[in-house]
Amino acid sequence: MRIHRVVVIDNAIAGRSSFGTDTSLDSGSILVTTALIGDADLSGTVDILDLQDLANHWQQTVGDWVDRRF
Amino acid sequence: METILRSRLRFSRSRLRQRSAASSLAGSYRKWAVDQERPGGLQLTQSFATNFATTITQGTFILSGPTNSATSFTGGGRLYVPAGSTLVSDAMQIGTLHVDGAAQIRSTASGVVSTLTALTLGGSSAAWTGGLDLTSNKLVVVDSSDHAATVTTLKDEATYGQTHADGIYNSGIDANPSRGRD
Repeated sequence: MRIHRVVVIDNAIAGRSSFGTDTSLDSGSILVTTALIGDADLSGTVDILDLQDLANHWQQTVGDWVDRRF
Repeated sequence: METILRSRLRFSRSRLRQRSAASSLAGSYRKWAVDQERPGGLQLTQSFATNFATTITQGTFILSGPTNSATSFTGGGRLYVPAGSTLVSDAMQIGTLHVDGAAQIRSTASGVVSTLTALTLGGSSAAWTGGLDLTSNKLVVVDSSDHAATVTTLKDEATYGQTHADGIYNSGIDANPSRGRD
């Protein structure tokens, strides 16, 4: 079973201010990294915060499975 | 434009030769030859290897040798890895990376995020022929002008990389038929 995937995250949607050593993100940034499936916040673990993120976006179309990593 | 790029490379070569004399560094770097110097670009036809950061201030730096490696690339210029060439580097913080061959950002303890203003791979949607192996690294592509199209292309390249050693992939997780396992 696949547990990791290379993901592409549109920061215009994600709105992150930092990504690893890069602290200069803006809405033009596109993030590429390897992530655990289900790790919506890229914390390195799948936890209650990811479940909360899933709940917050339940039945929404914004942020497809690649963006949210589910 | 070319003067800046050329002088940067000569500076790197000079430093490496000094290091080579002192530490018996492999002589591969001495073998590289400047095949082409033209306005806006520089092409090396033999393998390029350096333990120093390489700055591409402007123009295009073409690595046509079969195997190339560098600690890192910085600057606002363009780096091109043609078909048949490979490049391994710790990090890239440059303008454009164009890969028709194979490039790898190798896994390092520093975990420096690579940053590009454009990434171009050879091939086309669902049929990429150039490959970028991110290993465990993070990459940021900054594109405000054609943002949505770039997101779409990068996603397509990452999807292709799940089942091929081309596109964008992580060789650490995508190297076997049970792809994605640790």
